[in-house]
Amino acid sequence: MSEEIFHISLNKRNEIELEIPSEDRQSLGTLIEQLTEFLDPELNESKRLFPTAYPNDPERDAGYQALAQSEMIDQKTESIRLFQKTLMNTILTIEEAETWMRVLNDIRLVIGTRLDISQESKSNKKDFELEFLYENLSYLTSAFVEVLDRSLPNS
Amino acid sequence: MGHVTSPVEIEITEPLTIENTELGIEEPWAVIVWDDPINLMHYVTYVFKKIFGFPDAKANKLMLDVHEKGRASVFIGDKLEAEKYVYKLHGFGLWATLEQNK
Repeated sequence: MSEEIFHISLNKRNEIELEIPSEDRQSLGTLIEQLTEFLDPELNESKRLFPTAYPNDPERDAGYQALAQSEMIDQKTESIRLFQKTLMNTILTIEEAETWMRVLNDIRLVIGTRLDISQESKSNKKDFELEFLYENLSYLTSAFVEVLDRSLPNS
Repeated sequence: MGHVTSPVEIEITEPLTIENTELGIEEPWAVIVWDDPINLMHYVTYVFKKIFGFPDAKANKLMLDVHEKGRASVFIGDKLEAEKYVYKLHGFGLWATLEQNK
């Protein structure tokens, strides 16, 4: 993936137009397939996908997680399915584009956790290939944020 | 047989205690969003605008509080509503927790 070839814009019909080369879409498809394997709260890389709600109260947190975790897994599974279904689309609705943004960010959360990204967004583990991927995903996520922000009524 | 209304038996399995909650005076819960190195700054602003409907300036200020002070309180209210917001924030991958003023 290289950043120069992405183009994401909001058209007059309030739809998102997506210019992403098909080989890059295929790479995204592979990543998304891999994300399904991380929809497991027990995995270390997945801890950012299933955060604690009551860090100082394990009992309350267990109560929250008992309800939230399975719902969260369902929600993320649904998002992944929608992403896969629209992977080759050149036009997305606002809702579909937001799903793309969330899924892309979920992948960043997993990769960022694996890279042990610290406060300055610098990786503590050297893996140039994964860092490159993380940077590109950040760029793509960022482009989605910018265009979706313009679609909000409070912008 | 006359119309005698028999008393309804109520089985009490747990001792009845009146908590502050029931009197409506429970201390409110705060939703705290914590700084994290992965979520992009404008992504966090977008999420605040989307979930809470905050105007741009308020969402941006809260995001900067998160970034610079390490945390920001984004909602104060009853526990159920606070948990609902925490769940929504978690759905966007933000690091949100609940805290009660005691």
